[in-house]
Amino acid sequence: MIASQGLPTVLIVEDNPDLLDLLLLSLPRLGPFKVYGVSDGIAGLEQFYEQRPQCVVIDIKMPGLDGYQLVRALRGDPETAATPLIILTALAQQRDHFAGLAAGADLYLIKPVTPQALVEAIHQVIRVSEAERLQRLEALLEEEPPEPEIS
Amino acid sequence: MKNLASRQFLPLSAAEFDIYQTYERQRRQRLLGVMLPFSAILFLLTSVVFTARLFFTPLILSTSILYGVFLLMTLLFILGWLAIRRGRVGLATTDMMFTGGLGLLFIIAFQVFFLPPNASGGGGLNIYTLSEFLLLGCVIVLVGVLGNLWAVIGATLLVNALTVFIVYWAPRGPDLAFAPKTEFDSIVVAGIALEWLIAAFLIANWLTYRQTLRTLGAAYDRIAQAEQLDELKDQFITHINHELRTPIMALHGYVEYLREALPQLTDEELASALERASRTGSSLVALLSSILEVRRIDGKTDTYVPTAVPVLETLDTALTLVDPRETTRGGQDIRVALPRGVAIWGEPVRFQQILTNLLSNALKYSPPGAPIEVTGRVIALAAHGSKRQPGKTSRRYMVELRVRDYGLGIPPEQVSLLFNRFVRLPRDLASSVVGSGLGLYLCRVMTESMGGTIRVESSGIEGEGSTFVVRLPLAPIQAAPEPQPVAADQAASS
Repeated sequence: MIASQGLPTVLIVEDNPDLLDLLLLSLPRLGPFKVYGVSDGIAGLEQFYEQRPQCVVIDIKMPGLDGYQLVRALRGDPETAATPLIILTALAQQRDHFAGLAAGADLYLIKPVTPQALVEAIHQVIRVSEAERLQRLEALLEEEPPEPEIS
Repeated sequence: MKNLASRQFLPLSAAEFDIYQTYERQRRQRLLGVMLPFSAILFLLTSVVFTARLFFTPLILSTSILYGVFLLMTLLFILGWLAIRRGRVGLATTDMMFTGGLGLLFIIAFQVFFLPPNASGGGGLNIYTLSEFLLLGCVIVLVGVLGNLWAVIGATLLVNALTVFIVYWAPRGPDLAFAPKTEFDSIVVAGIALEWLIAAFLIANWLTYRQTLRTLGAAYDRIAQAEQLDELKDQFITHINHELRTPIMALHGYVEYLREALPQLTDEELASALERASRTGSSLVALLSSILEVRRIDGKTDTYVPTAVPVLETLDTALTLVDPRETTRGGQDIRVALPRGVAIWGEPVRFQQILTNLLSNALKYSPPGAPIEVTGRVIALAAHGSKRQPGKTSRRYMVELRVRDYGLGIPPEQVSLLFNRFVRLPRDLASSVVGSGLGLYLCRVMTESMGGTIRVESSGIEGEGSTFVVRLPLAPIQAAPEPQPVAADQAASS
C-alpha cells in the first residue's frame, strides 16, 4: 500500500467501469495521489463536498448530471470555484472542446490518454492554479486601495 | 424497373405524387401559357368579325345568343390568360378545359340545331357544319392535353354521343337533303372511329408520361434513401468513434500502466491488472464483432438449409451467452412459458443470436429485480391463395415468441426507428447504457431472412416496459398434433 497522507486528493467522475478501475488502480501509484472514484455526476458532487479534492477529473457523457453540468455547478459555488477541473472525454469534436472550456474546465483531454499523461495533466493544473492563486493574492496586496470619492 | 409497366394504373406513391405535382404544374403552366393567349386572340378576332357583320345583317335572337357566347368565351379566355400570368395554374386549367371544351360543343350544337337554315355560316347539318366536326376532335385533344385518362375517355364518349345525335337528328340543309342514308351511317362510323383514334393517341401519351413520372419517382426515392443512409452512416461513425475511445483508453492505459509500474507490482497486483485489461479487451472485441456482423449480413445473399431448431434448448444456450456484465445489476428472474417440444424452421445460429440480443436488451433496460418473461405459442396465419388457386387460403403455422421486460419502455414515436441500422434512442446516447445501435437491426435482418417478422409493443411508460414479438415459421411436424402450451417455469437468477 502507498501511504496516502499528505498526497493531493483527486476525484474521478467516470461512468465506464473498466476505465474507472484502471484510473483507481494506476493514479495512486503513478501520481502519487489519493484517488476517489464515482460513476455519475450527482455522486461526483456529493463526493466533492465530502472529500474536498485538489483536482477533479470529469467525463462528459454520464447518466444524471452530465460533465458540463457538474463543471458549471462546481464553478458556480464561490467556495469550490477555484478547484482545478479536467474534462476527460471521448467527444473529440471542436465544438465539444469549446463547450468544455466555456463551461469552466481548466483542461480538456480527449480519450485515449495514457495514465502517465493524465497524471502529468493533474500535476500541471494543480501547480498552475496554486501559482495563479498566489499571483492573484499578491496582485490584491499590491493594489492601491481606491481613493474615496467626494460627492 | 421491370415491374413498372404493370403498375401504370396503380395510384402514385407519395414521392411520385410530389414529383407529379411539380412536373404537372410546370407542364400545364407552359401549355396554358400558349393555349390561353392563342384562344383569347382567336376569339377576340372572331368577335370583331361578328360585330362587323352586324352592320350588314340584321341581328335575330339565335345569332345574338351565339354572339353572346362568343363574347363570353373571349372574356373567359382573357381572364384565363391573366390567371396563368399570375401563376394560378389550377384556375387557368379549369378555365381552359371548360370554356374551350364546353364552349366549342355548345357552339356546334347550337349552330346545327337552333340556327335557321338560311342563316349565314350555319343552320342544320350541311357541308359547312360537317367541317366543324373537326372542332369535336379539338375538344378531345384539349381535354387530353390538360386532363388525365378518365377525362379523355369521358370527353370522347360525350363527343361520340353528340356526333350520333347531330348526324341522325339535326335538321339537314338543302345540300344534304338528297344524300342516301348509308352516307350518314358512314359519317357516324368514321367520325366515332376518328375520335377514338385521337383519344387512343392521347391515352398512350398519358400512360407514357405517367411511366416517366414513376421512373423519376423511384429514382428520387432511391436518392432520398441513399442520402438518409449516408447520414446514418456518418452518425454511426461519429458514434462508434465515441464508443471506442473509452474502452481503447482503458486497454491502452493498462498496458502503459504495466510498463510504467511493473517493477513495483506484486504478482497478485499484476495478475489482477492483467485480468482487468483482458476484460476490457473482450468488451472492445464484442463491440467490434457486432460492427463486423452488420457488414457480413449486409454483403451476403442468404443461402442456408433450414432445419428444425428447438426453442427451449436454444433459449437456454442464448441465456448463457448473454454478456454477464450486462446483468450485473442482478436479481432478474427470467420466467419462461413455452409449448413443450416446439421448434422453429430456420437456422440455429441466427435464431440463437436473435434470442441473445433480445434477452440482453431486456436485461440492460430493466431495473434490478424486475422479471423478464419469455412466452411462446403456435399461431396459424391465413396465407393468401396463390394465383393458380385464388380464393383458396392455406394456413401458415408460426411460432410466436414474446420477450417482455418491465423496464423503461420505448416512446411510441421512436418505435418505427427501432429496427433500423445504427439507430440508438436519444435517451441512450445520453446515458451509460452501452450499445452500438446494431442489435435490433441484426434481429430484424435475421428474423426476416428466416421468413419471420419482429415487432415491439410498448406504451413508452417507465415500468410498463416493452414486449418484443418474434414470429418464425413452425418446423414441420410429422403427423403430430399441435403442441399444447405447457408452462415450464425456469428461474434463472443472473
